Parts: sequence; structure tokens; C-alpha cells
Amino acid sequence: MTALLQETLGVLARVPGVRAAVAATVSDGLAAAAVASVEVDADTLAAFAAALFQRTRRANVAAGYGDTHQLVLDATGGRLFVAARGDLALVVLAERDAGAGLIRVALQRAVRSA
Amino acid sequence: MTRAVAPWLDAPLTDFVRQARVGMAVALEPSGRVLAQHGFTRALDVMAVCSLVAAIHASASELGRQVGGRPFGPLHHGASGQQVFLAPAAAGSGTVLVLAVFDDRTSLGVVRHFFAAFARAVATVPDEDRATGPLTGDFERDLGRNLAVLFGRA
Repeated sequence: MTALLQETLGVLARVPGVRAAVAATVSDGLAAAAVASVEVDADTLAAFAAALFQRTRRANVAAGYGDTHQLVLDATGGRLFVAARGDLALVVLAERDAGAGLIRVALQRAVRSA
Repeated sequence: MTRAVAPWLDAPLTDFVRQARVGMAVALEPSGRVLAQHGFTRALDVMAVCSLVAAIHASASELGRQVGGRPFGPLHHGASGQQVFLAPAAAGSGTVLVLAVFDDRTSLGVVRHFFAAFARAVATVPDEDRATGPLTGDFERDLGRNLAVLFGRA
């Protein structure tokens, strides 16, 4: 399982502009595996990205929009992508100028295969 | 509202509770002596929780020494509703135990992250600031005085 996750994260991490790819549990926000550049704290990224996704998921359910498939957060310095299936979330932290479309496609593929 | 017998714990525990969004928290010495609390409404609950936390920490530490030579670190009990997180933090030359009770408004990862910030904050408190006064030898009086402070009766 860890080897498969690591391989999946490796694929995501190779997309140009990606600084970190982390697998985390949505409910606990704990990192299960990570491929990250040295300046990224994978545990912190997992904790906050999972918390954000869980809140978004609840908000969407409360609004009657159903399940949340992917969350994209745009910031001045970069982008955060989170996709989940069940309690497993895949988190990608990328540079601002990284190809968002490419990352989103890769993330959807990865979450299906993880 | 956070109330502390030990003023040096007031700000770090308040920050931890607010940022990690835990419902209840108590800080104590490994002996079971309460130092600060947030969210408890009855003195009796704090007394019972501190006794249990001290006993759990002592048992887990000894178990860790027996099986691996080192005491265990943080402990987490998950459940579908409330969860508990119990961890020691070095404070100067001593140790502070913190028990946090939380629900699904936050997560273990977030609680762990802000507990690390709490631990960094208390690690640098000088021993002279950390002193909460020696036990007078009259445990009941100490306990009564501390609980009165924690519940705003002093």
C-alpha cells in the first residue's frame, strides 16, 4: 500500500512546478506518505489541507451539492490542490505558474488509482 | 475561557485551544497537580481528569521503558464523537502534561501541529518564571486553592 502510494505521489511530484505531493487521511489529517521538497513540512501540509477539504466537503453536502471531488486554492505564491476518495486525500502543492490543468488531470487519475 | 494557576501557561494554552479548536484542555504536572484548564465547568471533573492523566502518563512511560527503553510520546484515543490527545511537553527543566478533548470540528493532525507550537512556547520559559510555588505539604489546601483559581473563585 505504501509503495503504491509512494509511486502515485512520485508521478504527481514529477509534474513541472509541483513542490510537494502528500497522501493523507481526511478525517485525521495525518500524512500517510509524501514526496516533498525539503522546505515543505509534509505533516503540516497534510493537517491543514485535509481540514480544509473536510470543511469544503461538509459545506457542499450542506448546500445540497453532493460529494466534493477536488479542491483548488489559488494564492499569490502558489496553488493547493486536494482530491479525495473516501478517507484518502491526495494533496499537491505547486508553484503559481505550474500547469493547473495538467495537475488536475494527474490528480484525478492518481486518486482513482490510489 | 482558559484559567491558569501558573501564569506562564495562560497564553500558550489559550493559543493552543483557540488555534487547534479543542473543546476542553487541561495542563498539569506529572504528579497530577493541575496548572491550567479550559472548558471544564466542575472542579470535580478537573480533579478526576488530572488523576487519570497522571496515571495514564506514568503507566505509558513505564510501559515504553519496559518494551523499548524509552517512554512513549503522545497518546491519542479516537472515537466517532469525541477524541482525546495526551502529550508531554518539556518546560524548562520540568514537564507539563496536556490533555485535549476535541471533536470533528478539528482533527488529530491540526491538534498535533498546534501542540508542537505550544511545546515550543513553554520550552523556553525560564525555570524562575515557571515556579508555581512549592507544595505546602497540605495537599488538600493546595488543591482547594488551585481549583478556586481555576474556577474563578479566588
